[in-house]
Amino acid sequence: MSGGSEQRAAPASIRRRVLVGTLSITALAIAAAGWAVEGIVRSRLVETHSSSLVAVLEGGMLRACAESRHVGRRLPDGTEREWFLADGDTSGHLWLVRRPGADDPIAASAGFPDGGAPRTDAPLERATDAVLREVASQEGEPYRVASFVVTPADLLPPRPEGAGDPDPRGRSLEGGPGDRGLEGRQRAEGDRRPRLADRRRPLRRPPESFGLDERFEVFVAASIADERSTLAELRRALFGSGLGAILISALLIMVVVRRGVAPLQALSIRVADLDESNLGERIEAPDATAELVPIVTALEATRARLSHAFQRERRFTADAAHELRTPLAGLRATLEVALRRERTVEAHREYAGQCLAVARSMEDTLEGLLMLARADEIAERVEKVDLVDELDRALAAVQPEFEAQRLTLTTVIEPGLSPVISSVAALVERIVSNLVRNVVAHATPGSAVTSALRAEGAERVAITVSNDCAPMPPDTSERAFEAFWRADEARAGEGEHVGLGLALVAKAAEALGGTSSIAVEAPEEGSARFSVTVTLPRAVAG
Amino acid sequence: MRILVVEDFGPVRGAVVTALRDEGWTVDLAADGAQALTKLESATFDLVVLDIMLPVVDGLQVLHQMRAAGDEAHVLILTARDEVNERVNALDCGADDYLTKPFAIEELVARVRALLRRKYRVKSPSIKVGPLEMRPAERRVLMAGEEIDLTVREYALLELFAHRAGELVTREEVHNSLYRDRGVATSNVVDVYVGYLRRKLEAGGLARLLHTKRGQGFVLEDRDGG
Repeated sequence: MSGGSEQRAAPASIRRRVLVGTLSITALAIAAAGWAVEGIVRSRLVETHSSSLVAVLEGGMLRACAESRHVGRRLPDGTEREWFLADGDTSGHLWLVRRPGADDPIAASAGFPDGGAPRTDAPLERATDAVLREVASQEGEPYRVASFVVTPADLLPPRPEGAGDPDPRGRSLEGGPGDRGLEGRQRAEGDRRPRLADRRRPLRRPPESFGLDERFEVFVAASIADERSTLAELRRALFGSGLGAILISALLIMVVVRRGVAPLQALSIRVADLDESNLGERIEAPDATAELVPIVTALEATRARLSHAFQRERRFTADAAHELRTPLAGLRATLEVALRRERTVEAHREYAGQCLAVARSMEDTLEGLLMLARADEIAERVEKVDLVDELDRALAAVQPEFEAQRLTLTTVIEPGLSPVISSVAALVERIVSNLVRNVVAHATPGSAVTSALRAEGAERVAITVSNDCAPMPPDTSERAFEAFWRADEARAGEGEHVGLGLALVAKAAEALGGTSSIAVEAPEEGSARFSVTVTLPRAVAG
Repeated sequence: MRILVVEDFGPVRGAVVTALRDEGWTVDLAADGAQALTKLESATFDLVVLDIMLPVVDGLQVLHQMRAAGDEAHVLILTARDEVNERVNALDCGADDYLTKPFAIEELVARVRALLRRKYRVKSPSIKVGPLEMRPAERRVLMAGEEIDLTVREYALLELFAHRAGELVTREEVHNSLYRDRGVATSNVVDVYVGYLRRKLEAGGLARLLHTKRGQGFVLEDRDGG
């Protein structure tokens, strides 16, 4: 949160991705299903309604024509009344009859929607199939209109012999008295569907006579408000249930994803809390999902490695502190004792000499500690090293001690061995000199010391140094490489107090890609033969 | 007062031994646990300064064997380890005090003095016997308010008598605290030093405080006063 300049985009979230992806798919699926259902239901409804409308149109027309033969006569009162669709059951349908191409209808039922009978430019000489269209009345009520062009004479069944006027063209129609009041009342009733009795009445009188062989354009209209509202209701229901389904699935997904991600969060908290105080506790995620298990396993392995390294470091630090504390105590105690009384010059000289010896031993210890700490980086400087030379030099350095302890030395070099290896001179020197110094510190005075160089396979050279010594504790071969471990110190008392020798050997050998091992034999009671073997590769890898 | 210093690191051992000898105590030394056990068998010590990390037999083992053998000497542990459990362990094994390396030599000497005092159930830093007042911390001896000069040996001897004022101190004990070798208690060095000490204590014509129990030893007590 420090500084807005380094604003990074939030990392992609699995939860968001899953949510968005799944929701999109769900929404798409629900929309497609809804669209299909709505389409099927709508086409079914429209088809049913349209076919019933066409049936009414055709059936009504046929009946009208049939009836017109009988009723299209002069009535006893002298008037002639003849109506298309005037009679019969039109089941709440509205109608309109018009000459093809004419603007005004011949007759129409009350409430026939405006614009329900548009003028057609198409030639209408011949009878046509029913044409369907949808219009809205002035009040906004939707209607479906079916229309066709017909010649009543074509629909009339053959007239029986001698019955009525052979020439239908002679007949004419004349409009009856209009009922404007009725029409007004119907309008006033608004949306209410006109009653059947009223609808049978013609709205307008035919303005002129017509013959049965004339062509007429006939329209039948029925309200589709119900159909529309049914469809709208269906759409609403589909939309609502679809939305509900999406919301529910979103909730479900969130719950599922949250539960899936919860162990990840727990794990991240556990890992974030990791420090040296709880490095020893296992990283466990008992509720981890299958995808998380490898991560948990990898983290646990890392933790175990770190914990081990940490413990080693801590032990090493404690040991190092101890190792420095003892000579420091000697230094301080010697100096304090020297100063707390009047002493002779000789006494002071002796104290100073003791302090110097302690300081030197501390220097050695420190150098060893630093070398241990840096062994890995030193291993980067590789050069040619002659092991025979190194061994000679190390033995030469301890020649006085060898003589003082009357140690006899035998050096065995395998015939034909090439002693030059490619390694780090500083580390090889440390290894060899520590091996030799270990002998000086522990060998039984007057005993025989053996040093040997031999090939260990084609790739390695082995250096072994053996000496007789006092009996060793049984765990010597396991523990002698530990820093500061000392099997016996009876003779290390005066100033020489270095517990790092063999630990340094092991660490340096490891840094060079080599190995180190210790063998303790007990050939006779009260004595032991102690051998340290270090193998070094002929060429340091990397 | 006889002290054994057990420490494997030469410079520390040397310094401790010198400092304690400077105080007038008789000091023996051992470089490892085995040597320490041998010394403990051969002489009686008032106090043992013991390092824990010792070669051959470690310090706690030495302490354990001492206590098992009924050795009542006070033990001051000296070690480089400063973990609490290590200290607790040492004290539970029968140690009386604990000092972590590196330490101030003055503190070591003060702790040794305190432990010696405790051994003879003396709580006060100054011991009074009649007109005699002894202040071990300052290494001063006052006789009727007058300071008297004592040599290191005389002082050590008086300290032994003062710590056990009113009790019999045998000739062997006197000899033991003066000399590290297991000498002959009948040798007259004991009488010689007791004589020196008496002369200095009675210099101002004061009554005798250090009485001889013939054939047994000596008692420091004020028989005139209360």
